[in-house]
Amino acid sequence: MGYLNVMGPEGKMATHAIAPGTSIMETLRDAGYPDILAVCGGVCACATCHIYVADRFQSLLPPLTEDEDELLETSDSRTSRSRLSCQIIFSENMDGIEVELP
Amino acid sequence: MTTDRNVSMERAMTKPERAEENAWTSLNTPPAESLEMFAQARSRCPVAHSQGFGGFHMLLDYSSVKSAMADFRTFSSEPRVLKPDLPRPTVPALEMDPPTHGSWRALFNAAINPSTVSAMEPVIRADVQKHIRSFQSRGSCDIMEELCESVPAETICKLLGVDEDRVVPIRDASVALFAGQATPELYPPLYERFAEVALAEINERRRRPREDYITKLCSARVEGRPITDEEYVILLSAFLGAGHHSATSAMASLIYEVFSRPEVRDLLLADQSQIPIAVDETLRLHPPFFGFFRRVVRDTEIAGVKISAGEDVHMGWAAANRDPAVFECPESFRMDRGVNRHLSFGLGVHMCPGAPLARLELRIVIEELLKTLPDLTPISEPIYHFGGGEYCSLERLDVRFTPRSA
Repeated sequence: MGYLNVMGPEGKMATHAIAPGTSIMETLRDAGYPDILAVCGGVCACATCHIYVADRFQSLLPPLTEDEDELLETSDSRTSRSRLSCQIIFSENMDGIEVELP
Repeated sequence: MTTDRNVSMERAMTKPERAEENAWTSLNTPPAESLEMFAQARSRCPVAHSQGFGGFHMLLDYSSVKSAMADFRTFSSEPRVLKPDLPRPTVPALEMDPPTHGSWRALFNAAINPSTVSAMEPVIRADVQKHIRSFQSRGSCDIMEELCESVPAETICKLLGVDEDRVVPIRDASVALFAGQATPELYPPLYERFAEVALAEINERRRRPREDYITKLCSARVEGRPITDEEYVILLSAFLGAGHHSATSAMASLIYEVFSRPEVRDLLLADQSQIPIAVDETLRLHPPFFGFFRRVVRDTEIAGVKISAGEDVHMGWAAANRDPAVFECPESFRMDRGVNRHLSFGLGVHMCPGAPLARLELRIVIEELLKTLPDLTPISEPIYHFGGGEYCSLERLDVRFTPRSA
C-alpha cells in the first residue's frame, strides 16, 4: 500500500491509501470525488478523470500517448500538469504523489 | 390514435433493399448488409461518401472516427446528430458543443455518477430477479420481451423517481417516439403523446415535491436560467430514449453472445469477474447505435480526404469497431482481447453518460441468468433491424431452458 495526496476543490489536502497496480482514477472515484465520473470506466475514452499532477512527480509518470493527448485537448482547463488519472497506474516509487482536481 | 400501427406499417411497406455504397443510409440498408458494405469500402478508402440525406462523408476506420470524435471544435454536434431531420427541439447536451454542452451535461452527470450507480445495484438486481421468476417455470420464452425490454426502462425510471405504475405508459410512449424517428411525417403526434406523459411527471413534482431526481430537475437552472416545459420534454426523452432502448438492444445481444457459446458460458460460470469482458466484446460487435453525425465547421482533412466547412460526416462506430487494424479477427467474439476500446458509447465530451449504468445492468443480468437458468439456450437466429436514428436491435430472442419452479 502507498499513499495518494489529493488537493480538493476547496483547497484542502486529503490522503488516501492506494494499492500498487491500480489506477489513481480508481482511488479518486471510490473516494467519492464528485468530479471524477470516470464515465468510460478507465479505458482512456473520455476526460472525466482529469487531474493535475504536482511538478515534482511529473518525471515518474508514464509518457503521454496520442489518445490521452487528444482527450485532454477536449478540456478547457488543461495545463502542462494535466493527466487522465485512469492512465496513471500507481507504483511504489510514486508513494506520496500529490494531485489536484480541476 | 393508431400511430404505433402506422409506424410499423410504414416500415413494412418500405422494406429495405440493398443500396449502393454511394447512397447508404440506415433507412435503406439492413445492419448485416451495412457491415459488409463498410468492410468493403474501408478496404478501398477509410472515408466514403453517401448521397443519402442530402450527402455526407462516412468515416469507416477506427483512427479517423476516434480522432474526429475527440475534435469537437472541428466536428460539431450542432445542429443535429441524428438523421433524418425531425421537427423536434435540440437534444440537450447530445446536440450541443462546449461550452453550452457543459451546462446541460451537468444535469445528466447529477443523475448518473459513481454514487448513484452503485446505489442502483440492489434495485436492478431485485428487478432482474423478479422478471426471471415470472418466466423461469415455463421452459422457454422470448427473453427480449420478458426481460430486455423491461429492465432498462425500469432502471432509468427508478433512477429518476418515476412511480412503478407510470413506468409502462412512459416506456410505451418513449418506444413509439423512438420508432417514429424513421418516419418524419408521423413524428409530431408521437412527440405530443410523449410530452403529455413527461410533463405529467414534472407537474406532479411541482405540486408535490419529493426526494427524487425529477423534483431536483424542477428547480435546476441551465445557462443561468430555469428550464422551459419544452426543454423538460426533450430532456426526459433523452434520458429514456438513450437510457433504455440502447441498453435493451445490448442486453439481448449479450444474452445471445454468451448463451449461444457453451465455452463462454462455462468460463463465466467458473469466473464471474470475466463478465465485463463479455459485456464489452458484445458492445463492440453490436453497438446499439451504428453511429451519429457531426457537421464540420472548418475545412479539414481526414485520411487524405478534404472535407469542407458545412459538410456532414457520419461517425461510423459500428465500422470502426470492426477495423482489422485495431481488432484482430474483428468479426469474432473473443474473450482474450485485452483492452477493448470500442466506440459504442462514443468518445470524448459526448461519451455516453449512462455507460456505467448500462454496464452494471448488463453484468447483473448475466450473473442472475447464470445463477438461475445456467442451461439457457437461444433457439432463434439473431436478426438485427434498424429502428429510427441508426438504432440497431434484435426484435425478439427466443430461448429455452430447464424449467425451475418459481
